[in-house]
Amino acid sequence: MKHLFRNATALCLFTAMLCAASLLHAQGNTPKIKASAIKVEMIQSDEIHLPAEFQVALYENLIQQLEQKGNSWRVYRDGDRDSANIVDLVDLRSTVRVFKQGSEKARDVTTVAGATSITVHCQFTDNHGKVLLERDINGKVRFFGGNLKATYDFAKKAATVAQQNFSATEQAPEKLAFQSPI
Amino acid sequence: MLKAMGLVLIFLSALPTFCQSTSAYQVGTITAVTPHQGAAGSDPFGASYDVSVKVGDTVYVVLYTPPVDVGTVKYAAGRDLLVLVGEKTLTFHDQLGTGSELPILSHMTVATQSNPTPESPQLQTPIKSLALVGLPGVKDNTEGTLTVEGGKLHFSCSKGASDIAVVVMDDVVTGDDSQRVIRGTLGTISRFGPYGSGTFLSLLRSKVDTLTIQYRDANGGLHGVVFTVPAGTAESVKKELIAQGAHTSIPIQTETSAD
Repeated sequence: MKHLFRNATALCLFTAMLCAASLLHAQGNTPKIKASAIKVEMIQSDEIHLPAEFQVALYENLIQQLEQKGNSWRVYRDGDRDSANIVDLVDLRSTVRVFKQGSEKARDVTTVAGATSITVHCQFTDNHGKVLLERDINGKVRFFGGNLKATYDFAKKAATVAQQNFSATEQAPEKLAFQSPI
Repeated sequence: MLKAMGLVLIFLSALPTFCQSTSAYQVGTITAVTPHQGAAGSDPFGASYDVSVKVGDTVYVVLYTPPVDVGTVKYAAGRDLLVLVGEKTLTFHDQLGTGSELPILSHMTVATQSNPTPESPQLQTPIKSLALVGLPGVKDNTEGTLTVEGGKLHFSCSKGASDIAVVVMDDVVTGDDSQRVIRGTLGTISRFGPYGSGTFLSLLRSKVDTLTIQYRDANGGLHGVVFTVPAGTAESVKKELIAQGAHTSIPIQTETSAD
């Protein structure tokens, strides 16, 4: 009886490990989308009233994290003229869907209450406007840090999503020859 | 007789020099670009823009229609270019050397840096500030001082400094907030103080103002910076920035609040 129980446990563990390994292998084989550069548009919040400092912090933290995650792709800002006509440019449009502004004081005093949470809908499109990837990414701060730390949390997660789904092309971003007079 | 004729001829040859208007190319700075609100029935094929160009102490608003509208002109604010100001037109040469004459829609004289208006003295008293995020060349959450001088917002800290030109600021917004009196690593450790002392210290908070600025770099790329400044000082900084040419989406009298 004792041996039967031990053998059954070992068999269950082995089966679980086998399933996990096959799942990880399947994820690793998902082909990444080629991207020579990413252009980050300013964060939009048409439906939600988002304080200006949160909007700017989301935008700047996102650019910082995308540059740090690297993959050697070039990161362009909203309105950057150098991004015009770049081949394999991925456009990242972010829209705030949910914003719950907590209170750092409540977090400090109660620990369990006062969390700040932001949910942003991220849409990656190519030069022709075709949607390559869409995700809802949530950033939050629960215990330590100011409210703006939620924007940093969001940026890290968004950069991870970009890193997992896009790969930089080996050569530098190519541009078409046209250049506007002004 | 011959001598007199020679003198007259010399005088006549020099006369055009005095009659010529001093027309020379000058450096102009594009300060704003807005879509042109054309009359009904105007050309539907090309978008036109009202481009504000500052030459010396005069701002000229000219009508520019790009040959191929790819939208890059919208981000031209802050660029310098050589212009020739005529009576009714403004001429500039693009990077290919092609000259374009643009009709002047309006012009106005603005106060120069050497003659600041008495109502808005330059903010030269440094204000203690914390650069939260986005300031180029400065790490996040860096303490320093803010001043507005020479047409620039100047942030100075122990490890360096950073400047932002006022004329390229698209939006300046203020808000209010609060922060812990004891912050940083010591503040985190103090939270675990015994007998509720950590909780008590958490209640000690100071009011601060936030100053959020959006501006464009030389390539038209949008940047954002967030500062915190002592309570009650953000509005004065915003007034000074607006007086020197910054734009804002919220008039000075309207206050935003955040807690």
